[in-house]
Amino acid sequence: MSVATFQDMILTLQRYWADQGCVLMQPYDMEVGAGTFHPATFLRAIGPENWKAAYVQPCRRPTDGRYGENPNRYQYYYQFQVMLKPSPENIQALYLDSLRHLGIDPLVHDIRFVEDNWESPTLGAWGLGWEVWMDGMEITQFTYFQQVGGLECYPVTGEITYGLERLALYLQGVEDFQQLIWSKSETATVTYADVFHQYEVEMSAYNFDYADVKALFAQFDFCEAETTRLLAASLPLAAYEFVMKASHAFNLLDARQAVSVTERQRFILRVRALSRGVAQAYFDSRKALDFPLADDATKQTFLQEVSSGS
Amino acid sequence: MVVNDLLFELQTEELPPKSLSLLIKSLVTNIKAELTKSQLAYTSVTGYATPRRLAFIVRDLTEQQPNQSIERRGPALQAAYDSDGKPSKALTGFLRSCGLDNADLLENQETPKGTWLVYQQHKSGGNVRELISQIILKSLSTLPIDRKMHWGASRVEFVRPVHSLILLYGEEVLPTQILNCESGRTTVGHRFMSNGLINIKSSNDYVKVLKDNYVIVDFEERKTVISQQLAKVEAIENARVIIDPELLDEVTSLVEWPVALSGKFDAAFLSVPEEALISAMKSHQRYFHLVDLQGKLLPRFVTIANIESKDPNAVIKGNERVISPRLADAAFFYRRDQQTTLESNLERLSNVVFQAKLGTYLDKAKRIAHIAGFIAQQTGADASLAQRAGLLCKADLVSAMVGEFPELQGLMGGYYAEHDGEPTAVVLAIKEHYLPSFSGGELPTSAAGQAVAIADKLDTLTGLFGINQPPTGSKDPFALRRQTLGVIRICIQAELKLDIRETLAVAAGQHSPEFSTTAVYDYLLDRLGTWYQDQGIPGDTFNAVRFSHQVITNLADCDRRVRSIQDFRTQPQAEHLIAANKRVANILKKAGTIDAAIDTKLFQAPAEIALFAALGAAEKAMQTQQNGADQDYEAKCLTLAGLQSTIDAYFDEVMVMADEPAVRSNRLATLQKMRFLFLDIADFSLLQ
Repeated sequence: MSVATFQDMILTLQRYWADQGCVLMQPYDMEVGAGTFHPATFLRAIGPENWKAAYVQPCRRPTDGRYGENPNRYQYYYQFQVMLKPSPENIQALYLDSLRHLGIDPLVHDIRFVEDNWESPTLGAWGLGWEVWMDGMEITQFTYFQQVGGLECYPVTGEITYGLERLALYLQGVEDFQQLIWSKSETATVTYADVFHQYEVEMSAYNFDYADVKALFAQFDFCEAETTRLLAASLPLAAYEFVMKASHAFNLLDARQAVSVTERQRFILRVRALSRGVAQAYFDSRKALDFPLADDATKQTFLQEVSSGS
Repeated sequence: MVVNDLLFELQTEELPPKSLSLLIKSLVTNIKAELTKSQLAYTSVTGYATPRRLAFIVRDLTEQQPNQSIERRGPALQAAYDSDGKPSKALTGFLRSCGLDNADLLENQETPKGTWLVYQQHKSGGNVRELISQIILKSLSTLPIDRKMHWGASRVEFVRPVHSLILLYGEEVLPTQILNCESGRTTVGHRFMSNGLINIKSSNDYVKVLKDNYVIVDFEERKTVISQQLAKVEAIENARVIIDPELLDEVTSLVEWPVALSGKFDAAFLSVPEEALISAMKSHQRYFHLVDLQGKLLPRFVTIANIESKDPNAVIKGNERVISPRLADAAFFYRRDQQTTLESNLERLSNVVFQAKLGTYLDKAKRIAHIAGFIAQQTGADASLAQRAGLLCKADLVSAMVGEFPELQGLMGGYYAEHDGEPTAVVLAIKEHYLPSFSGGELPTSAAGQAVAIADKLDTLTGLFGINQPPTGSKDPFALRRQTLGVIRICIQAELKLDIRETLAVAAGQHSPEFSTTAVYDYLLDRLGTWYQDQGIPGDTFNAVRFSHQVITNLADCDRRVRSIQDFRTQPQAEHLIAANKRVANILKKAGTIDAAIDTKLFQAPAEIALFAALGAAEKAMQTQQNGADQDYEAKCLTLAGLQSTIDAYFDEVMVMADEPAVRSNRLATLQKMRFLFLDIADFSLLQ
């Protein structure tokens, strides 16, 4: 029996991953381009500490706006993010079981792991993995983190990112995000379009046509300065919020085509320098606490073979 | 001698499809090399590869290395003992290195240089059971893996996480641990269509048991199955499936149990340039596209699924649902790009760096325009059209479509130029200016296209040589080798009347007056020589032309000469004439500078008079031997061949180095005339 509404899908995934021992977190209340930016993934992937978390994260990708006209490409959409550290031996099987819980029969659908390595130049991060295809549609990103903020990952985080809307198209058998049923009760049926269509049209216009380029450049500079100032004060978590803000300002400038190709590279390097600074500062702060969530064996291996943290 | 088959299988998570066939080929090569190095005999090694496993079977692998006997030579007998007859340091050191306590086992070996102490060391051969782990580890460690990865809390590294290991010798499990896996005899079948662990008894049932579990382990067999399925689709749809071999390889690497399914998309998308639709299907979805019997794109596709679905229609419907927004995106980019003209894109080109020291793509476009204009003038094409096409040819680099599908650069520029109302010649020139896009690929057909294609390539070539970054044996990031060959092929095939040296100078001058073209010109001629060799025309034929008196400037003319000389070499007169040229070249070299004019009154032998007359007649004939405006080198070579008996008679009868100085220099002057007559076409003395 497949899950009937968008919200039921979220509830099912939350229940499933909670049962696998994940800390259920809530969306970070800031604009991010991907669930990876959430500190529960980006920062927790650093250092020898164990961590398992799952959460929904709304994502903003200004250049993906299509004024609500493309059936499955929106500038604002939902990811369901799972991060398991260390990645368990049976991580692929766990993931496939979650699909079964959603009512997907892998003997009907063509489910495949297709190489898609991940690299985030702004986060100084990369990993190897796949996009998971169901009947040719990418429904999930699956990544083994190898480096984050310029630091080697050990133990390795396995990251599973579901594209909720795309998955829902299958479960509900519709063609267009707008037709997705968000919730259904005896008295009312609410669709994705009811919730988001007007927003998608307006935000596409804002991203492509109205965003104030001059103010965004200034905002970027401000966030960069704040990050530096806060890192000097050893406040990595606060500093990281300004990295996220800087990154979003850059994405908006990109959508406005305000950044030339050469400039683009320079901006990416600027954000990356900030991310690296935050990663190192966060690492140092956890080390000062003696990595409270790490198990002994992993911690020893980490300190001997990966990094003494100096 | 005991022999048995060895089966190895590493069961992994999904391997990178673009390198799968390379991985298995390398693994087989490495294993063969390591077995040979270890002196373990076998008959064959067969590799198997699927997305989830790398495997091989070694047939008739011997159980035991042969015993080895190594002769080790120690010190000379003289140096082995001191005056008291006690072992010297040299001897004790040697004994220690052999693991011996005394010299009892050493033998004397007599050589012309004296007597030496030697030790015949016998080493019994190792057993495959002890050796195989190291052989496999070594073979795995040198696989061509771009980026290795870690997983979990393990420090092991491989291309993707590894789950299990089979290592069977005959029916026996050889116990070992590789990449943190204990060897055994179990593996898994198809991810969904097979259940649980499966047992492999020996190498003989590996392929079959896996097939029973919905895995075709043999890469080539899977490829054949896919090809057969595609052929079936063609028959059903009455259409042609276009099979790109690279895509076929990739798709073969993505499935263990291929099932071809065909779907359709909305025909309304066919208003978007078909190359863009094909790119969207191929690069994003790994679909094969279909064309009708006239070659026109059909709104159909074939996907290769990895399952015999309980409901194939659900899979087809799913795929149709995916391709539609992909194509909608292509259409979106196409419409968006058409809102600006190529000309208005030029400004943004100034933001795209071509090469740090050689400026932006706007700089490059302006240079191409200038060079293309020059070329068009030389070749009699319309210079203003070539300039226009040159200026606009890079403008699609900032279009949304090329941003998404880089392989469409040039092509999209052509479509947008058409939309902008540019002249047809400009449209075509932009479309074809990247040609040839691979070695041996199609060439531009239009005059403006040829001009821009050559201009673009020479700009890159002279620029990179100018900043001293010529290609090296291993590094050629701008594909200068291919681009140079492209220029050569275009000039020759289109028989362009183009002075390549002058064009190189124009191209270099666009970068900087300081950029020299000497090295580029030599590089180009070297590539030309290699190109001839690849066609079976030996290096000395080309060198004879290259080092003649007529410097290579027009490549088409050079080609006619090279081919005439190659023909000439098959003529019966060739051998004698080549010998005569070598002889004359030697004589003249020894004689030094000859500036005397020929004085017919000084002729003494009839053969002298005959040669002089024949040379005069040949010279006169060769001046008029033309095919239209082109030199007729075939006729010229025939004329030269006609001189053979006269020249032979000359050398039979005449002593060149006569005693009387005036007669001697007169004869040398005659020979020089003859030599120059040949040298105008080629240096025949260089032919072997």
